[in-house]
Amino acid sequence: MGRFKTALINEIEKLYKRKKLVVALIISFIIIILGQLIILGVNRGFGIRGVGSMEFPMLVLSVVVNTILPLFTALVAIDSFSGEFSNNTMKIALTRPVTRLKFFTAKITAILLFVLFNLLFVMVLSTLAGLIFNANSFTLRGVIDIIVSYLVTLLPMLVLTLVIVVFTNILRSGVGVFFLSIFVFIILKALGMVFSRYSGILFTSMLDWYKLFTISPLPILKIANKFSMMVGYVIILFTTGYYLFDKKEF
Amino acid sequence: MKLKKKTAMLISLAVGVFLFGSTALAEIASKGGYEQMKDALKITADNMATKMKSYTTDMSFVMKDNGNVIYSDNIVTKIDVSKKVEEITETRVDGNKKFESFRYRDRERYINYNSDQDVYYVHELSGSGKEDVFLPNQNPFKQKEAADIERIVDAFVGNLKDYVVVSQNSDGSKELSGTLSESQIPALVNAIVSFQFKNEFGYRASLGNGIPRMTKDIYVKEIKGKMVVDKNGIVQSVLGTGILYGKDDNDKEHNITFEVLGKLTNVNSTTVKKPDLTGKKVEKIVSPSENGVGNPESYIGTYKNNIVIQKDGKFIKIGERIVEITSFDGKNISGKYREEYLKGYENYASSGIKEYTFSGPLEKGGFGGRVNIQDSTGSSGMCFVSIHPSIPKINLNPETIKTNMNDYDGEFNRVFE
Repeated sequence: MGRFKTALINEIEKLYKRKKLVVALIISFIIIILGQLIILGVNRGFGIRGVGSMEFPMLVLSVVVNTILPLFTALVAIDSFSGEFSNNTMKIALTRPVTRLKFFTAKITAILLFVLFNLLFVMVLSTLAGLIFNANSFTLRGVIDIIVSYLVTLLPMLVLTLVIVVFTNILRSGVGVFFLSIFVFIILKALGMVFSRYSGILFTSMLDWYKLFTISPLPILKIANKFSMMVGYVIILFTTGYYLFDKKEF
Repeated sequence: MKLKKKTAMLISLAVGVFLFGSTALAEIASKGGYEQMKDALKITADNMATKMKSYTTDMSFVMKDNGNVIYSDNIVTKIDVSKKVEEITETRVDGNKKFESFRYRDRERYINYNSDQDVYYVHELSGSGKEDVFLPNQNPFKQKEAADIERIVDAFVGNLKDYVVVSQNSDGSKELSGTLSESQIPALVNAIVSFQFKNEFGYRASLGNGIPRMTKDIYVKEIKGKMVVDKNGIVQSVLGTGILYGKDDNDKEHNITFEVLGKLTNVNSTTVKKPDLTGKKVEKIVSPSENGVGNPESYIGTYKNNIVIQKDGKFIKIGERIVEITSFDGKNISGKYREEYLKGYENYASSGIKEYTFSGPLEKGGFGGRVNIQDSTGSSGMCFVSIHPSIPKINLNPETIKTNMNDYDGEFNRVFE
């Protein structure tokens, strides 16, 4: 476990040094400010309330989860794998006394921590913005909904991360992986719209699964079903990703 | 060691595939509340269009402002498909104003009544019009575009379909319901609805005098829906409720509640009776049927319009065009046309002809046709005649013989002596 921890800290440090985190946070910040400005404009201009303070973080989440969050997750994941393949820094890391499984897991954990940090940042900032600028409708239920919604989004993001990791282990070029990921993302989104009957099994439609947690009464069966489907995804993708990573010659 | 790792990977892959496969299958196979709702609507529409012999629908719409009813509308429709009889009763209360209307229709007649006029208008039907008036119910899901529209709606509804909850009753019937609170309604939908409402009621009073003019902080607070489906899958009632919040110019808060309730009752046991009109104000109207004008003799007579010119920036009447219908039996029409000029304006007379006779058949089943015209000198041509189906008006437009075309007016009104 000690070795895993060292590998993880090492990965986090690398991730932090690449400055992607800062860029992601700045863009999230800009989106929140822009969103808030649009809503204030709508309120003053059209006399429509737009959103209440509790709805604003949800609105931001629904935008972020389908745009910048997958985008930056892809960038970070590609950096972490393809980037190191091409820079040949992967060799150095692998010479350390840590198994490839632990190393692979550490990398994914680091990416996940990045996603979590980004989500929490957006959550806190949008809640604050919502409280300051919007008609006050603060409720405990609202706060719980917000926290749960942001946290459960981590699971579909893990699925997405693993999909990209599998791609990085198949294609050599980081740019190739990036465009492939975006292509697949858009295609699956479109397929989900056309064949809405089957959209439930596509991982792109699971990004919105946090909405299930705001329904009352809580649709436990549906949540359990979605959860085990995502766990299924995670196991398949993790195993495939690790298999490819393990076979790789450096 | 190598083998063990491979086995572990295979096992884990198998577990993953199993987990994903089983849940994915469950996801596809299970019909969620939304799918069940669509099925119920389809079954009901199909039954109404093909199987049900008679039924009663009861639709009502109520609007409340902070709990006080400001507008209500109730429409009860009784339909007997086998006898081709239909009766529609509407009661509307708008503020303090009450309005009632009644419509009855069978193969022989239709009867209209509204409380504003307090007269029963009885339209007796004739000819092939008898059958055509009654259109069979169309199943909206069988229309050509239905499948595409359904797909668009599905995509639009998206994840909202998860909000439909099903509760099964012991007698086989079930209740589908869903509640969307403000944070669950997509922000865009909320904004559009609020904006529409403001546009509709914020400035002008098109309907509902009691509706407050809300101008600030408008938003949709809640949307609720409930549908009761019987054991045969037929919708028995649908209830929709929406709450809109907003402030008026004086910062007074308003919660506007909209309620729509639809019920389907008395399937195959609805009877529609011809209303008893004894002692009521009745007006008979013989309406035009497919065979053309209803009462052709009544159109025989004189029709006129003015010959008008523009002079010194004013309209001046210089004479009259007079049309006399001498005979009309619904098919053939004949008559005379002449122009009479006032004293001093004779020189304005058309360079062409001032007088001609016309005669010929109208188009079959129509209200107009091209007929022959002939003037006193013997030259002839064609002219388009048309008869207004319900009011005493005719149109006469010569095609070949020149009249004062620039200011020619072909519309003639009946002259009553």
